[in-house]
Amino acid sequence: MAKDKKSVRLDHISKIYQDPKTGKDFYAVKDVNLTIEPGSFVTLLGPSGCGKTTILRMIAGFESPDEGEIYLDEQPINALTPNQRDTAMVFQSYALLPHYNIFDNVAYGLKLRKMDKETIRRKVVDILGLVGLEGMEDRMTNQLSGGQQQRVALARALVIEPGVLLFDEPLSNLDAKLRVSMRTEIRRIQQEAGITAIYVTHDQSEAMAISDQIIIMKKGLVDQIGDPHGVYYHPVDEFVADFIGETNFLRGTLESKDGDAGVARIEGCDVGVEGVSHLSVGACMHRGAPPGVGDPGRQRRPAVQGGAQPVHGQLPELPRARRRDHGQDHRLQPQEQENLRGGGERLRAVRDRRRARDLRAAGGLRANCRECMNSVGKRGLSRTFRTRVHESLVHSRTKRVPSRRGAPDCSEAPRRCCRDSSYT
Amino acid sequence: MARNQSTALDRKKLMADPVMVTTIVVLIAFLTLFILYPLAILLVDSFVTKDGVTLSVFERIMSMQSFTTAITNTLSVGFFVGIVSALVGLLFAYVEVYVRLKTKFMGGLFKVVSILPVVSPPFVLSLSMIMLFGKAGIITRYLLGIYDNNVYGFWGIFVVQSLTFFPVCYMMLKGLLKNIDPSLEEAARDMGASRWKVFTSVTLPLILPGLGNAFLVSFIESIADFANPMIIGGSYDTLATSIYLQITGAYDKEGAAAMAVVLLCITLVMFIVQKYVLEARSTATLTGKASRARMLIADRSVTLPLSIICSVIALFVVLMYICVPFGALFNTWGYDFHLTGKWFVQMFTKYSGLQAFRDSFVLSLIAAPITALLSMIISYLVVKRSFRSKGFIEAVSMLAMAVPGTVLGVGYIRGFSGGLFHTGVMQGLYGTGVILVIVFIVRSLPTGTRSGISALRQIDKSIEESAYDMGADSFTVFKTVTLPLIKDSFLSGLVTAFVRSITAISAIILLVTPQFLLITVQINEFASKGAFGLACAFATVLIVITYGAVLLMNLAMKRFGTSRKFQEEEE
Repeated sequence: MAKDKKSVRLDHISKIYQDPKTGKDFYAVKDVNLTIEPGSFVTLLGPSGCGKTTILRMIAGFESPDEGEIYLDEQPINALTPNQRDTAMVFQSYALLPHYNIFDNVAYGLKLRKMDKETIRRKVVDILGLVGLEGMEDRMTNQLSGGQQQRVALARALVIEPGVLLFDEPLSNLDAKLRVSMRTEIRRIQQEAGITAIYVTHDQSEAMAISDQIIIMKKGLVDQIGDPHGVYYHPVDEFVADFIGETNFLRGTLESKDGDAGVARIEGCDVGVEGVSHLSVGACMHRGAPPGVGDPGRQRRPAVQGGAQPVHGQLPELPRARRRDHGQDHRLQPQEQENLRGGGERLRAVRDRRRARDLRAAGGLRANCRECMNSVGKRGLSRTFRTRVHESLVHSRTKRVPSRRGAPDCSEAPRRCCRDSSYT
Repeated sequence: MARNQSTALDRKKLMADPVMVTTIVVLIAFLTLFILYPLAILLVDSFVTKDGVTLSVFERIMSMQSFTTAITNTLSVGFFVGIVSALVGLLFAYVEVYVRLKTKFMGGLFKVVSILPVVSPPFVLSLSMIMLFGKAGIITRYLLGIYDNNVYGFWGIFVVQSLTFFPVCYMMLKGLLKNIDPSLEEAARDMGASRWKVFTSVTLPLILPGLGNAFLVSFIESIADFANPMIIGGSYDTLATSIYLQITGAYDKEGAAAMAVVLLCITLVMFIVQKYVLEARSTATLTGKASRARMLIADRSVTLPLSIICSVIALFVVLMYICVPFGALFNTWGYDFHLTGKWFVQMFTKYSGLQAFRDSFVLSLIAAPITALLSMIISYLVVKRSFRSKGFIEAVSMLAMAVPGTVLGVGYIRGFSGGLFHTGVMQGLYGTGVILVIVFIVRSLPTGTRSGISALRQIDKSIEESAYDMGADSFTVFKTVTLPLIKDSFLSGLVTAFVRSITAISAIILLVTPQFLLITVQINEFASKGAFGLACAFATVLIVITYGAVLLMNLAMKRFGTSRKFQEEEE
């Protein structure tokens, strides 16, 4: 349908805002480089305030970048006003024109393009069919449900056949169930229309489900770019690992290594890890662990692949390392960090003794049992105590692999645990 | 960190929009020429004499006994009027929002009170005050048998202005009270506070900034008021009347300019306090709408006294307005109560009433749509767009609110009678209908802009952005999206501008030339001559016209107005 899919390229884009309280300037977006291929569905994902909407609004032309240039099909568009740009945006609040009916709303852009009445009518009817709103042309916008309004907004954006379609958290005003069905719908329509789409959201499951490519942003910077599978299984840092899916972090020290693989000591256990080529032996490290069935519907993180297959170990982040001393938790001094690098002292995690006692009283944990181990997921235990369950981590295995469309959505009911743990 | 690039880009984008650029340039030129320039010329006139920059003019006027008295007079009247209007306004607002009014009659009274000041010329109450309480007043002479009651002076001005301005406070405070979440007061009641305690410990502190705001607004209005002191002031001069007399009586233009500067300084200081200190605070404490309906007070021990007081005040106001048409129907007010139509006949035959109505009507009719459109454009620019000179446009159009009409009038005389900066450029403007229309526009612009801004703030920014994104330029967005969405506000702005223009007097009386006869000027003339029959006849027709305009507006809103529907949707 779209006459031409366009590529978008952001070249060293920065945007500076003024803090309204302190009056200081800060980077809302800093030195962002992106290339978005024609026809692809790209999601900007990040917590609120990370600059993703600012990027979208800069592409649409509502904001101007302070540094860098934006290209649409290799044409610089920095100086173009929003109405001159070949983009169309779907707004969070739908932003339908309340004094027009559905037909006029969708026809608005076409009328501005001075098309004749017959063409407009045909196109509007076609597009309303595509979004599933046949026969609603004469309704007023306030006679529609939220989901229907969002479809009109989508139709209105699609009908002008833009080079790039922009979505600004379009589903955040809908209820949970509708969100899931609408995102599939948006993906279907985008595929049928074959249009380049840039989608902003803070909902990671939405991003996983809908995108060809996910751009994870943090504080105005691009943290990681990759397909859903990639960012899920191979997070580049703790932030991404934490933001995508549900993750537990285990801390330990690297005992030995051989190229990319190595052995880490976590709470007295040796665990095989991978991705440690950049660490020196003795470094403190984190490791992702699966959350439990205690959180049905959450995504199980497959970062831990079990004993035979080494864990994806990560994050040397030495300044984060802590030392337990006289009951106090100390941040390590630079000298101590050096000692660690030297491969000597092992870090002890702070232990939640009460939790440990409770757990023992409940009958302990059975190694080899995934459900059991899952039960001591993020919810059941404090972060530090999780290190106690190392054995099970080694044996636990998450079999489900996300489909291309995204991660497992875990809508299946939690399976019964082999024993009745009080921590489910 | 340099933000040069985005600034440059924003400017480039703006320049790509010629309609927008032209609009901004024209607006800035208009505001500078017709608001800033006349005020600037006052400063120049009062400070610069033949000997260079001196304070000699100020020394001269300050040494005038009459002027210093006028300052104290103005401030004391303003102060008391401010307090009384704010309190009476609060009473009315409280009764309307909190008390269950059983009868339709009371509701009607409240409605009348809120609409009367909108439709009536500013000095009608002075007329009826004299007719009711003056030497030949019905109440003083015939009911009470007092033969030498003197209404002229402080008490006359005070009563008339309080009655004129309290409805404004009432409307302001009503909005504030409605926005108080009832659960705050219910919580206090629940913890054991009595009704009076709730009022003093919860309600009153919450609306205190708003009350201060109302006080200052009526204070400013009272200081700036020209017509009432003119008619009922007698020898009790206020600043506005002194300036007028200085320029029309003493032909002392420098002195009048300096006096105008003094008056302007007083109103400006209060305006700044009101606008930036109190207004911000009065809305900050009360955000959002009441979550649910308030339990109204039905206790007779509360409702009865309150509704009696309100009814008495409201009835008194109504009585004063009723006086006006009757004043025109009696032979000689106070002496000969035979019904007659002679005043109306004379008005049209002898005193060219037709021409007066035509001139007033036509000039106001020209000014109204321009004002309404301008104020909508300004509010659109201020609320929805960002560009460099936005702050200037907003500040200057709000500044016009603080400028008393008399000051503006003197500024126009000094600024335009000899052409720009006394050079003769644009001299042709002075004395024409054009300058009268411009004065009408400038005087009504702030009110229109304010209502436009509040209407536009309720509309989600992304609605316009979406149209923009679809490919509409600024002009198309304004025409097809913004204007239709604030149709109601536009309509009411149109009528308000018309009513304000046709009832305006303070600036106009200084600028009008014999070729134009304006109703308000005629009323003022006959009233000061003591020809109350004629003055009342003119005033009656004027009230009929303005009331007709408001009725027409309400009809039009019911017929075409759609904004109400959107607002519901926004909620």
